[in-house]
Amino acid sequence: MKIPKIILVITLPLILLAWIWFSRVPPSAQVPASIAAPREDFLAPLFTLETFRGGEIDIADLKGQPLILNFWASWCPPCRAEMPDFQQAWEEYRDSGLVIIGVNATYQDSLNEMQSFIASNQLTFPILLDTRGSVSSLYQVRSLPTTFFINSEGVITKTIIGGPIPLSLLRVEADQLLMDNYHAPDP
Amino acid sequence: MLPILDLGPLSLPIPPLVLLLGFWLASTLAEKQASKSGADPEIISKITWVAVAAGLLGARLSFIARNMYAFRGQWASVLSLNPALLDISGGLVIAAAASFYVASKNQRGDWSLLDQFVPFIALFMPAIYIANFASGAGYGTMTDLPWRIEIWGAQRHPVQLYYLLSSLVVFTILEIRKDTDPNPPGSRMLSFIIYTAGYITIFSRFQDPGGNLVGSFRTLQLTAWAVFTIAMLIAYQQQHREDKNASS
Repeated sequence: MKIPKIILVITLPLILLAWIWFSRVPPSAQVPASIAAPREDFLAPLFTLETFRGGEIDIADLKGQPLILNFWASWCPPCRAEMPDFQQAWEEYRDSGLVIIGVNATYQDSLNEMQSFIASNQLTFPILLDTRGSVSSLYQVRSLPTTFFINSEGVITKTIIGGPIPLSLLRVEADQLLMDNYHAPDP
Repeated sequence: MLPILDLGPLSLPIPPLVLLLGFWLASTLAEKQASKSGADPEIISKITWVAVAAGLLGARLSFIARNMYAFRGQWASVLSLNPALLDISGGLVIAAAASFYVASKNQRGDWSLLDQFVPFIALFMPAIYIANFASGAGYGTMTDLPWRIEIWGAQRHPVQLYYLLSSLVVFTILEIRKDTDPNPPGSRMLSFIIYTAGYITIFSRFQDPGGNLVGSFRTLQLTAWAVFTIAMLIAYQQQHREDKNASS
């Protein structure tokens, strides 16, 4: 028996509508990100590393501040090209509460070349040393540079693989992070 | 998940490569089918390339227009190769407008032209899902079903594969029916839209919505349902008109 087309036109959308009703997300599932993973909408994985100038930084201590996390190495041409723009962004935004951190892939870099690159470019934002590659592995960094934009609640809002990232894009993303920070409720 | 393929000193990003390959295969197939059916294959490639070029240019211009302040003293970055400086929605609008302009300039502003694009879009959709699977984008909700996959810190539905299989089924159905359909112009595109919006409505239930919700409903699912319903109504009206013309 052939089903009249008008019946299909009416019933199929209704069946799908019932499916949509069945598929709705309960309020209990609409919770903020609770799993740590190196991807947008997930909590940024926590770590502690030594800084280039001595001392340690624990990422967990930065909660409440928007953060740009850039993985780089001195042998990587796009990393070298974008570092002056990161420095410029640091100078423009550090007083607004934005934190920029460079994570040097020290396990695959030369310490001397990294030091001379930092000195010649007068980089003043914190540089962390990933000497064992554990943090690069934690963030599943497969290509350098890779940059994570993390909001004040510790959630990754954007990932950019590759570069160089120009200052104009850093400004757009920094302003977005700071705007989210402004709207975020007090912890 | 395979976002980057390391080949010696080379790190190849898989998702854009899959998309490029999909684009090439899809446009080749669309041109071949157009010339087989007696249509002008030139118009297909012309519109496709105009859409890509206008889309890229439009996406960059739209990004600049929306963030003009950020470019102060940085105008060279207007030419940056970084794809993060693209506004996708602006690019899509410009690409659609440019395609429409080229189609009407070639006196092909009719519905049958849309049908000629069906093989292109139908074969490009699987490429999008493979790229998503490789990058881990559009990941599924958590599950304990036997075919779950480990992704982003949890066991999840391989929803990209659900979409991929559905899109391949749609492509196959449309290919089988392409020579037998006596339907009016535009109906092949309508069929594609109905099938695609249908499976997206069904399988988006297994996709993690992130924050994309309207109340407790998934935005993607609601949008796909609306597209499905509208396309069904248009197809019904079209068929009804054809039947009426045939009987008179």
